Amino acid sequence: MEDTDEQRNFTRTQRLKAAVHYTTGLLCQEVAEDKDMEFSKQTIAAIAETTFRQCEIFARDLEAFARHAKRTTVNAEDVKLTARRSNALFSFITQRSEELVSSNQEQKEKRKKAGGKAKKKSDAPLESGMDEREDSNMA
Amino acid sequence: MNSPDEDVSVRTLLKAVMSTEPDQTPVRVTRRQTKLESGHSKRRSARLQRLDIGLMSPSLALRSKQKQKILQSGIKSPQPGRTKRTSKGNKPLICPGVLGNQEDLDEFTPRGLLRKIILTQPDSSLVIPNRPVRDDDHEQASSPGASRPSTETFNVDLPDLSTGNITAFVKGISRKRPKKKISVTVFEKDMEAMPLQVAENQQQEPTESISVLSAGTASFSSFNLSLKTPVEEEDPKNHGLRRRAPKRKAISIEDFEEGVQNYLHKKMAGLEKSCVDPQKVLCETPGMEKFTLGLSAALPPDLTGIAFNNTELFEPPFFKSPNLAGRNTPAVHTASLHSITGADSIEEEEEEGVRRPSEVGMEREKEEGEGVRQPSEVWMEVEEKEVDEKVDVADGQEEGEEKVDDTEEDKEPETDREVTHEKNENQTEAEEEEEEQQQEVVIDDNEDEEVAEEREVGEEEERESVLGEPENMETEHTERTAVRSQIEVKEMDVDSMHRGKEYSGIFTGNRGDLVKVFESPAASRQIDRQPESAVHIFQHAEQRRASQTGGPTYSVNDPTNTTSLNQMQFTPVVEPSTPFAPEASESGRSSAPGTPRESERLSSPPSGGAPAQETPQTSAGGALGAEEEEEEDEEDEASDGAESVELSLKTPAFLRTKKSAETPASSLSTPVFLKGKVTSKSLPSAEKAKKPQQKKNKVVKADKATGLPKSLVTSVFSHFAKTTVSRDTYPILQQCLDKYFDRLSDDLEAYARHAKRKTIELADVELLLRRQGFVSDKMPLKVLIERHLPMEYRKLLIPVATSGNRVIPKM
Repeated sequence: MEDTDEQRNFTRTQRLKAAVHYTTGLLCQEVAEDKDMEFSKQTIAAIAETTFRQCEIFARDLEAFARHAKRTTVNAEDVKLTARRSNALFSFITQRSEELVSSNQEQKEKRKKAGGKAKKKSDAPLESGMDEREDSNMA
Repeated sequence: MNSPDEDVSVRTLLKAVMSTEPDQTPVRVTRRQTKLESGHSKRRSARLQRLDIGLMSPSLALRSKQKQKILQSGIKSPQPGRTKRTSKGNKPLICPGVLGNQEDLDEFTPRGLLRKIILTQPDSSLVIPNRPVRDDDHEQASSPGASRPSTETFNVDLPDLSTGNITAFVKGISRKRPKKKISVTVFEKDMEAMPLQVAENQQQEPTESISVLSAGTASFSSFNLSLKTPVEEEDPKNHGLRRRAPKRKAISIEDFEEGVQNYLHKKMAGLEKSCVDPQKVLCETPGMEKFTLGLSAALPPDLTGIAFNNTELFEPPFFKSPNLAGRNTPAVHTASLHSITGADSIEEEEEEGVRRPSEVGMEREKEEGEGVRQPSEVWMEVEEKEVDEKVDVADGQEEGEEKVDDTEEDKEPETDREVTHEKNENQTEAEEEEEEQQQEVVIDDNEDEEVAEEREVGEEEERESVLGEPENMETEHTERTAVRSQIEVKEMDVDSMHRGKEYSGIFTGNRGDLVKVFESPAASRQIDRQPESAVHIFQHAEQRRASQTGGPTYSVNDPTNTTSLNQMQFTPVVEPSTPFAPEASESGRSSAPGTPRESERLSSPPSGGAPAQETPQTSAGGALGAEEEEEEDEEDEASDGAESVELSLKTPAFLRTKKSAETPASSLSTPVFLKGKVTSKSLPSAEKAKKPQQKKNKVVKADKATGLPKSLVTSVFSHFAKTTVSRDTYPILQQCLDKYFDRLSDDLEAYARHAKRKTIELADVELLLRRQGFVSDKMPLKVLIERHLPMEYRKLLIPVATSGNRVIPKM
């Protein structure tokens, strides 16, 4: 059983890595097109691997931050705390978070008028979208 | 009979041989023969024996040999056999050569005897003195018939006697034989030797006897050999010890001594490394630092302080421990700081005495109740007090004044402690209130002025520093007083003094041992200390001011002080501290290796803590937190040198109870972190740490960005670099340190803010350490604490249960 679990984890990791690699390849392709440059495969692989490891670090940090704030849910605040080192990134994230918050509020207001459940649903995807954006930016 | 005739001729020869030759291990065969002969002799009549001897008929010879063998085997006295060797004379007599006698008996013919003698010549007989006897015996034996019987009789007797004599005479022989069986080595050796002898014998006269002898000697040769060589004899005697015992003994002592030393060294090294109990370890060898990670260096100073100070968990009311610990005081201070959180910080202040605990306790209480300031104030007072004791009257005056102010200020209840404590308490409390008062009072002396200024500048910082300082009180105390005096003398700028003092004070005080240790290495360090002490006072004043002003304790000392200190620190601090430096530097240097880490840690925490909350409790909040907060505040205020601020924050924070936990942790992390990452970084942090201290000491120029003394920074850096480091690196190191501490404090502040707090707490520091990689699932913080922090700080951080269901520090 343990072996199978390990295998499963390993498989999952592999798949995740593959996904990251693929995404990295796409992004690199975009950048290459913009800059009229080419990315070697090793470069893409290196970037993908680095991204993957950094994601692990991020996850760990985010969890630590959330726990530090005595929460069990990773928050946008945690994400901002993680990104504070890089000014540009930090500003970008804060900006996005603000937008997200404002949009959420607007939606909430609308939902209040319309209905409760609908608002919640809209809020969830919005936040998740923002987080994804932030994450992608950070990555 | 021919034999007699032969004997006569041979006899004479034999006589001569017997008389001259020493008893040699008879050719075994001869011995046996003799034995046999003796045996035979016993049984036979003299005549027969004579006949046998004389005739030496082959049958008789064989028989005799057999008998001898039997006898020999029966008679476990190999010696006789050996001695028998002497049987060259075939004299039944000869004690040593009992066997030989027997052998002789075997070879009744004088010729045979001669032969045996010749054969046995090379062999050395164990029994030498028996010569004369032999001769007699021989003569007797040689005498035809009569001699035989006499010899025989002798043989008969001799064998007994010889056996007895042999055993007695040649202990080794007798022992050897039996031992031979036991000790293979002996046997082997003998065997080895034997062939030689046997060969010799064989060469000389290959005969049955010889062969027998050889065979016999093979077994006996070992004996013989052993007999020959007394040493060997001894060996077989003690088969167990034989091989190497003697040698071992000879060497064992030396080795033992070496081993003991090594063991001690290892112990010390191990101890030092563990840094668990620097006190214990340090005392032993200054060189132990090499073995340790360098903390030992830091430890030594602590130890000295500790050694001199009470080792009780709770410091007795008596306070003001002189600079005994110098270095240790910082630790104590930090301990006190830690205790602040824990309420019973007295333990920490063992070194420093009552004050600290009072301060610490006060600090804690204040933290809880009022704010960091109190502790810092308490600190200040403590430090001041210490300083006073130590240094000049002026200092004392200042302190007294400050104390008074403190007391006034510290009206809050923490009067648990003694007056000193109360004073301290008052300080902390009254700081806020009486910052100004103190300032006024302090103005009397130059230091006072400075102090006042300092107070104004970085009350909070001071407080924090005070908090921290109490721990470092001892060392800082002296230093401070010294510094103060220096300051007075030099009349440095108040600001610089402020800062320097604050820094130094804070840094040294807060950090406690760590800081001090860290700083100590640098000459300036010590100087800083002194100024730090003064700085402490200043900081204290500042803190008070801050408190009074209602400003968040956040900025208490560190920000302003640190910044100013940082910036100006090194230089101004160095200058004034130079005079004092020599003292401190020594301690500092010694602790440098250890201190760098500490300083780093200290710096890190302060930097981290600065932004955090310390506001209300500048010092109380937790040394680190306070420091950090202060740093940040100070930074905000002074903006002279975030680094210095951080540094100053660190020191006081370190000393502070809660924060101290953080600082050590952070400092721990920093050093380790630094090591792992960039050595230069560590130095910058160290420098930063130094800077704040320096600033505190001098509080002259807030421009000094580098809060750490140059000597400390360079010493730490070179220690970790393991190679010679040029002096050009110092400015870069300082920059790195500054940046590092800045980041550290920023992070800590961010973490604290993230937790919606205003005070940097232990959790913040731990989070920082975790992020830096020092703390992980596999490496808990406690382990790091135990590994790197001196005992005082450990006590602050890790609750220890004592008798009476007491937990220290109070959780």
